[in-house]
Amino acid sequence: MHNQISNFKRSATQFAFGSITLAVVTLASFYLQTHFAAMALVYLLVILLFSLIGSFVASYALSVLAIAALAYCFVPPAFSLRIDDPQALPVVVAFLTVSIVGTHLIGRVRQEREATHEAAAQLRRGAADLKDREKRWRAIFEHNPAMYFMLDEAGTVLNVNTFGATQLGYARDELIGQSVLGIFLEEDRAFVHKCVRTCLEDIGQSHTWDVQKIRKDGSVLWVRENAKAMLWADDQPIVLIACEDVTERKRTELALQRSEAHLAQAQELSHTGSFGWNVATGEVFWSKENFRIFQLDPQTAPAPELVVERTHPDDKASVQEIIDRAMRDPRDFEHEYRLLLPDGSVKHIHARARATRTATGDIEFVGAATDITAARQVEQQLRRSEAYLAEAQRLSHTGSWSWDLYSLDFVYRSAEVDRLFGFEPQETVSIETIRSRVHPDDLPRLQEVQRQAIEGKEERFEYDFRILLADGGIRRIHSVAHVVVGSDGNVRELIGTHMDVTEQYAARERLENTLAALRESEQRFRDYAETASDWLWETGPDHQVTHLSEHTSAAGILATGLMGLPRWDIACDVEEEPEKWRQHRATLEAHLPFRDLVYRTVNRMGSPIYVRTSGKPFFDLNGNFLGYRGVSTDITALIRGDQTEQELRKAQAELAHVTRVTTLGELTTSIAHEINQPLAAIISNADACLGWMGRQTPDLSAARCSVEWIIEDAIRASEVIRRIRALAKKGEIEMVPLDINDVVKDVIALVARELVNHRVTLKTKLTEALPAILGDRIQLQQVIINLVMNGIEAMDAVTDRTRELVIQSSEDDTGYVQLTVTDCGVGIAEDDTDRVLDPFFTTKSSGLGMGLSICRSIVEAHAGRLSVVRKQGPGASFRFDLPLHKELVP
Amino acid sequence: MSTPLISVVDDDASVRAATENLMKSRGYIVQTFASAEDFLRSPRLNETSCVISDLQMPVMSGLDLLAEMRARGHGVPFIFITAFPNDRVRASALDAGAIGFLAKPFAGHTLIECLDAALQENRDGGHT
Repeated sequence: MHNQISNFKRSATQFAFGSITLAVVTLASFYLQTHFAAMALVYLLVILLFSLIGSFVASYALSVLAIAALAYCFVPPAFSLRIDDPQALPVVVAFLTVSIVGTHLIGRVRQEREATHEAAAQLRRGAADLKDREKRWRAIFEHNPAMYFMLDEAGTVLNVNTFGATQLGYARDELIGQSVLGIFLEEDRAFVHKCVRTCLEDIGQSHTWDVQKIRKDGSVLWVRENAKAMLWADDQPIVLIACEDVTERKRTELALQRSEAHLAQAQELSHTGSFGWNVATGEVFWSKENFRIFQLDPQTAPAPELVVERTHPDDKASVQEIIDRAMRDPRDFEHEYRLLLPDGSVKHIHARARATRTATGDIEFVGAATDITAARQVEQQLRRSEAYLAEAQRLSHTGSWSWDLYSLDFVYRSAEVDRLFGFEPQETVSIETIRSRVHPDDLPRLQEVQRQAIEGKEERFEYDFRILLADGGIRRIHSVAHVVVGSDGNVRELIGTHMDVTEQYAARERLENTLAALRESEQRFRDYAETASDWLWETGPDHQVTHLSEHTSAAGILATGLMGLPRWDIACDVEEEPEKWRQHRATLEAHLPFRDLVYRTVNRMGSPIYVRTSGKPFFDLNGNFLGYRGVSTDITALIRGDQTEQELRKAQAELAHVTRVTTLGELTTSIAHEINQPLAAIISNADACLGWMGRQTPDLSAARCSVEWIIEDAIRASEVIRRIRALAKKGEIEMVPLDINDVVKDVIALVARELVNHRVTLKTKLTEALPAILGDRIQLQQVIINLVMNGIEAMDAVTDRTRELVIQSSEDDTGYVQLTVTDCGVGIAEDDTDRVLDPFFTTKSSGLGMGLSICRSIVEAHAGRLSVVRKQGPGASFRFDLPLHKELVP
Repeated sequence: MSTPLISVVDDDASVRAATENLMKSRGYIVQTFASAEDFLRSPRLNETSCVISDLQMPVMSGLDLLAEMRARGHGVPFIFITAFPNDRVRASALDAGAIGFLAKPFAGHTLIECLDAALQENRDGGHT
């Protein structure tokens, strides 16, 4: 539009000035009387001149004007367009033609020139524009907050932007010309190389990857690289890489991953699975651990029904009810149930859930299911440990109590005390009630002993008394107690134990009776042996008695009227032992000699007697069988002696058991200590485990370690209990090959605390690789415990030297293994050395004097011997020798 | 104030390890000794802020150790732990100046509370 207006202006100007010029020229020609042709020439010149200005239309109009002027002014008659002179016509035509052609030509030339100018100007503008644009792109390349790299085929950096170089702590020049691998971690270089290769193989395609880069200062940043290879001008491929710093994102991502891993591991460690349950949509989420607890494939779609399916049949109804209730009434729930898993195992589960409202307003349960099987087992084990302790008291018939002297009431009494006195548990017991249960003969002495103890503030005092039972029976109690002094210096409390020694007394009585019986029977045997002698007899071919030596009837040994009877009619045990008699008669039928046939019959007084007889057949000269001749002996005393001895052995075994259980009672505090130690460790480790898991960053390996220790200590506690139970067991004697050192080690485990409490140092000199002996482990343990406890007690008074107890094992060349227990205590008085192993010998106020004698019986029953060793220096040394296990002796 | 150093003296290896574990889980620095004699030989005796010791130990008991420490002029607080408690022992331990007397097995938090009280007193009272 603008152009059109300016063109029009120009044409108007051209036409106006052209017309004025033509008018001036015309006027001038009138003055000068110029010829028509000359005038035409002048007009032409003017028109051509003005056509230079540009507008063809204006030039054309000027030409028409000029022709009109020519025709009017210079061609007569005036004001006629008719050309009379034929000569003038060609001039007019030529004029018109030349003026039009000339004008046109000039216009063209001018247009072309202008086009050329325009093109040149455009070229100039284009160049400037290009330069400007390059500058702008370079600025973008340089300062865009992304790192750009250009690499050649070999991975050499062709170019890098300043931003990129700066981010990595380099100047551009330091990177250009270097291999790009230098800014990657050693272990990532192969990966980067591969990525670049992929780009080069796939020109034009862009690829993305995440990788770490190292700065010049060694720090690392995560980048996401976007790369593409393209062909460069000379057809050489180059790789363009743009990278974005994603360190922060990556860090968050890794932190998230780590916290997820922590959570998963914490769930795994604590055996806690988590779950979510949207009741409205039925959507269920289970954590990995949840699947593991329920032993389900993580690919399974979780559902509340799966829980019911896995639940133990006994708990199914309650679990279903919880689920149903949760659907009806969306409130927090918590419950415990058992699972019965496909492998047959049973797990205890504790589940808790909280009802929350989701963004859409639905109710969603979010909860956790914990496998508490281990905790349940530990709980059970702890309960069992407590039960074992109570059992130990029950087994050893030892009750413990504490009596408050001010309130005259029990501060504490164990269940066994109630049982001993026949009190109801929880019953309030007045001092009168207690006194009424004590045997009246024992009451004054008991009160006297207590009074003295309270006055003298005695550390330890002992007394024996009897309890009258409701059924009229008597229970014998041995009590050990000490006083507790309060802060005011007065005795405030008595603490002690009551041990039921009724059985011990009974066993002792039985033993005394049996010993008396044995002594009597020995005497009788001796008497008979001195007076009785063998007698002779003869039987005929039909085995009937034909002859008896005279003195048997005189001594009253045999019943009268035996003549003519066969032996099986004389004997009284034919029906009891048919096999013995069948064999005997077979021997007689075969006419073979026989030896030491023992049978029972009656003497003249009708009392049963035992007869041992031997005989041989006799024949006549022709070899015809005539009968038997032989000798018989009355062995009644001998047989009776054997029976007594068997009873004695049984009584001794019983006493050994009672003594053993008594020893256990004495060890009760030590045993409680041995169990309390691992229990303390278990609780501390469990607390520590909670501590490790409760840290901001849970230390799972420390937590795991704590749990492993808990298991070890629980095993340790149960070992102690096993040893106690073994000792308390009243079982058959079991003779098995044993290493005496093992027996010693078991004993040390039981008495270790006793040694510490009495400040005794134990030294063991055990000879390695001793040959086995044949013995009963429990009985030998009892012997060693007894010797050790005696040693400990003997050193109680020692204050001027180290209390040292030495246990030594060795082997001699006569086929015996020795075990020696040596103390450095008060020793044994010269007079007592020979008696110390005898029954009822004791130097202790409370002792029964059975310990060492039981030890001797046990050792002798093992075909060994127990002896007191003479030693240099203070103290005593006991040794027992046991023969090697025969099967092992070559 | 730097983290206090706690010394545990117990002849029972597993109790020793468990007590150390418990302390460490709560962020204390702990050193352990199998006997009172070992502890007295420790080069870091003076740095100890609190002693947790068993009572019944062979040769030198916990009470002996406390007496020896006091004789040497150490006012460091003592907490006794024992698996063989009775009132007489408790009284003599407290009379001798122990700040705590715990019967094994004890709950972890009981020991920690006792320890915190001991450390507080140590901080307030300083060494005598």
